[in-house]
Amino acid sequence: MGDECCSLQMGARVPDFTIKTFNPAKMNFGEFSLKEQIRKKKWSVLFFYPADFTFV
Amino acid sequence: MRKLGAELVTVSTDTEFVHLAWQGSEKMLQDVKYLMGADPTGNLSRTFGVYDKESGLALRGTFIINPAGELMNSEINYFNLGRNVDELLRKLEANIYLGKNSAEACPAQWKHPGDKTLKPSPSLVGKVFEEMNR
Repeated sequence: MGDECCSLQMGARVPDFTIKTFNPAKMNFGEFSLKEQIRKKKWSVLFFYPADFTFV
Repeated sequence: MRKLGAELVTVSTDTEFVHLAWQGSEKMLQDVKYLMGADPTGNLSRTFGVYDKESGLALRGTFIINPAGELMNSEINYFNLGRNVDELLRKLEANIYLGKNSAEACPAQWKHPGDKTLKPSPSLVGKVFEEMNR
């Protein structure tokens, strides 16, 4: 694993990121960006899972 | 989670197009309202230490980030263990509460806002038992 593991410390600022998203409520594609969350002063929960078509 | 003012984003190394196809075909997902994020490069998964090189997949990692963009909570399960959503909500509620009440701490077994919290101070040192049973 080396430097890939656990590089983020608790309480540390998460590096800015933007990912593409599918929004099932609106049936459209969009983006989620940390900067935008900070601008909106909102909490974020990232929920990683291995793969679609399996259990999460 | 939206009620709590938080945005939930699920993330896997699938693309947003596969997310659409999966959400459309899996009945269990027909009412989902959260965003489904795509990390086909695995870059975001690497940032959070959940990328598995062998499989190219992300482990079951859950991360709570505050409105300042700071990491407040992390939990990583291996592939074969699912998560407890109640526990995630508990931790999110605790974090949001502590975000508004920064002088306090939520002790072990804290479950909901309204439960006893502690205010760390010199007078609490060695007196946690008395304080919790007051």
